[in-house]
Amino acid sequence: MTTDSSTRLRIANLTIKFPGTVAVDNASIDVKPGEFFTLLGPSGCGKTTLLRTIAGFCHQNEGHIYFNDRLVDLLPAHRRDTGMVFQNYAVFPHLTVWQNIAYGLRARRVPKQEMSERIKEAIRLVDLIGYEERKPSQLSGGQQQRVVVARATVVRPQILLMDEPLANLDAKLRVRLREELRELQRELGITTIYVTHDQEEALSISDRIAVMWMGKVQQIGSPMEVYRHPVSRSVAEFVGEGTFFTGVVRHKNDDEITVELEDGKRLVSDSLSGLETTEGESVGLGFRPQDAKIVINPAPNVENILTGTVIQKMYFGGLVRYNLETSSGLQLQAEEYAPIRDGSNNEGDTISISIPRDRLMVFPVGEEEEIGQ
Amino acid sequence: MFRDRYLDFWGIVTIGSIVIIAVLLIFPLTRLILASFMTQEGTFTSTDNFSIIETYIEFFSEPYYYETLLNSFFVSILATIFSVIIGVPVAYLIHRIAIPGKIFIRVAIVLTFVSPPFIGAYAWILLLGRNGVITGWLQMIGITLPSIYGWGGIVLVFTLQSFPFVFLMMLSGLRSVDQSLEDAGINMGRSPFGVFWTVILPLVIPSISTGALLVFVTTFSDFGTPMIIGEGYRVLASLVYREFINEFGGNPRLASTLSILLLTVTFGALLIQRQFARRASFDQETVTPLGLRKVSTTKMVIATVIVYTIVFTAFLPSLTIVVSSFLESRGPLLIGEFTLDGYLTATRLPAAFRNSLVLVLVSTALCVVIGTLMGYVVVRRKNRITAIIDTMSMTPYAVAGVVMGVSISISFGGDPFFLYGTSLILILSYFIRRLPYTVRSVSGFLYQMGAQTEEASINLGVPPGRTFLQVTLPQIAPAVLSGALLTMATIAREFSSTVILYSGRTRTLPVEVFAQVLQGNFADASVVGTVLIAFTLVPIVVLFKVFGKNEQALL
Repeated sequence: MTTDSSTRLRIANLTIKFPGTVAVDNASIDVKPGEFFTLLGPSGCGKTTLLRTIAGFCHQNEGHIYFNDRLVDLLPAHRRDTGMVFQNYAVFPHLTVWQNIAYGLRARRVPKQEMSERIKEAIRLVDLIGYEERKPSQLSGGQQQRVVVARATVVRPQILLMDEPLANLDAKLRVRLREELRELQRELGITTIYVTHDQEEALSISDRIAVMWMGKVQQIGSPMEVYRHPVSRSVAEFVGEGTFFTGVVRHKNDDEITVELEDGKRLVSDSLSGLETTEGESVGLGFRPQDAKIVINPAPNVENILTGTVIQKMYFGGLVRYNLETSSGLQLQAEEYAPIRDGSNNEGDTISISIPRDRLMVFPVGEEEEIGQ
Repeated sequence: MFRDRYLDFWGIVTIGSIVIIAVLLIFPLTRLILASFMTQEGTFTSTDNFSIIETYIEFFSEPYYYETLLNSFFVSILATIFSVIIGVPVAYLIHRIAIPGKIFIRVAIVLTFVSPPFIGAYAWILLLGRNGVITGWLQMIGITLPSIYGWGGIVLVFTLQSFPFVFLMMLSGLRSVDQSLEDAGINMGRSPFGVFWTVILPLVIPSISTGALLVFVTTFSDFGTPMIIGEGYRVLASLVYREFINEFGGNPRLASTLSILLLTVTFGALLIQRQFARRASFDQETVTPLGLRKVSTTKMVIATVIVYTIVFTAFLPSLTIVVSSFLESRGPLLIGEFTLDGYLTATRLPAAFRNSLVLVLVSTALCVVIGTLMGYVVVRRKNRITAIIDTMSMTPYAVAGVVMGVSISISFGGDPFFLYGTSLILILSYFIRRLPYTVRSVSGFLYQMGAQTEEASINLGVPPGRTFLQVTLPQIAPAVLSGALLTMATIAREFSSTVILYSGRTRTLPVEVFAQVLQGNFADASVVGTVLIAFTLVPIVVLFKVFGKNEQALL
């Protein structure tokens, strides 16, 4: 089943069109064996279409798909040997847990003895021992999803495809199941393509993430890369919260960049990651709320200090969130962790925040719209 | 979502479906239109230079003909209005108030549905006719009722026969109104009655209009009732029948012309209603449907009396037929003594029963097998061709039985098929008329089910054909089987097209009842009618008991 190839899945310049829209636009992705690879993007960005095309349920208009360097463009869906986990479970309602898991093995004509052993092992892995003879209607949503995971993995597919498998579960269960999924994936060493619109989910379980927007792959990288060094404001905004604004480049060398804001204030960043820009050009800036540190009476020569009035203060238990407005009208978000001082920094107070230079994100100003979540 | 570049099993099904629709639906309707323009000799113009629309001109210039159209409109519109006036309040009262004994109401509604349309007519003659039971009682105390014969009787029978359409549609409309809407209305200071008028009624208007359409279309195409109780009051549908089945040689051209006119009216009504319902309907999210309301005992008693009076009146015809089938008869008169003689002496009953049984089973089997396959391609293999199959699901509403009968007869009855009077022509007619129901119920179910389990199966390595057998069929089986039972019931009581297409050898139960009524042989009619009611009731009872359906399924 396994060949020693450096790419398990190669997607080359794939374009998928539907009447009136381009669902996936010239996407290229390489996935390594054993990798947990996530397609992240808002609904309608083309991530599910891309996944369904890998499974063979949709067909591309241009480009190619390779499994282990073997072209599979013309291979029908039932012969692609992928295991798919669906958002709405798609558990066979007329079959028991055992029969559901046996379904793909029967299609592969696995010998009885081996089949029984593999099903038992799969049931153990997803923690469903004792539920073998139950019908899906007697299972909870989380249990049904475990059945589907077992059903998809027991056939030892070349690639495991998961289409928002946790979207229909409640928040607590979602967190627990995603930890289990990650553990199972590591244990089996199975190459996984995971589709989600939940950035926290994507960051927490992936080896690498492809951020998609409007059919295009915007950025591919490790969770930390896409979170810390997003290539564009849209990626930055989709992957996490933050304050975003623009400025003009005043000084730039290989290590750092100085940007002047509208009110003449200068900020310095060394978080460049291959940004190409020259002095005098506009760039986008941004920082995450947890990266802004509240400073009391900053010395006048300390870099990257922004001062504003507290518009709103929200208490979340573990942290306090401030919405600030600077004198030039810029809206800022900052968070204070483990707040212990009470009665300070109230609405109406003026406070200062400092942004470490390695936490100030800089990206080119594009014509892109905000994508939101 | 599958795009196959080769002809697989479903490709063959798609092509087969189109052939069936072309041969059994499009071809006969085209023949019908052509026949209305053609002379007896089969040419479009006759020797004396008459126009090809000669029969249409004749229809609209001769009062003898066009009066039937006006009469049809008159009785159908009246019946529709009365059905709404009765059906809407009864449904509302039953839905909102804990009226005791709702099971009786359900039974009565079901019985009005399972008896063939004209049975009400002759039951009311038994009750209110010249020698009627009630007429007799009233005469003894010196009261003379206005005559039941004529348009008044037709409207009475039509209304009692068809108000369940409005009733059932109203009920299903009420089920999609959320309780919170009423609560919000009352919270803002309206009385419950005010909320009914300003919130609930506007939301269920589209459902009511669908019910009203069904009343209008079925009554407009019904000729059994007017022929039995109309006594000289002629409607369009009965004129179609008389012109086609004429003892002195029918006039297919005129019958075709009349059929086209009838088709135009029913199809037009359907389009108008669709347009209206689309504009008047709202997307509703129903979490908790409207529930029961607590009312005072006085109001409860009034509601119970109203509902039971109406439902009992509607139920009376079926009861009359069943009771009178066990009574001794002398000529057209029934005498009040219990006997089973009627069942023993009804000589043509066994043959009619056998014919009905065979025709129902064969046609249903065809509908189920082919309809299921068609329903599948409509949903899972969307393309321009399957869209045509989908559109076809409107035909049973638009094409009345009598029109279907005439078009099938002129298409396949004579040269070169010579199917007239055979069982096959009846099966073809039943099949094409009821096929859309299976297609619709299967496709509706598949839409709801979604394609994911099938995709999961394919993803696990099972090819599409085997996936259909192993995953799709087991899941849609309940829908298919309940659809089959419903199809059996509707074919068993099918009358309008049968009476056009039957022969002595293929006489069915409804036709036998009709023949006995027309001959004035009310005793035999009651016996055969009771057998027919029982025959139709069997699949309905199975449907309710085994599949847990309720009377909503009958729509």
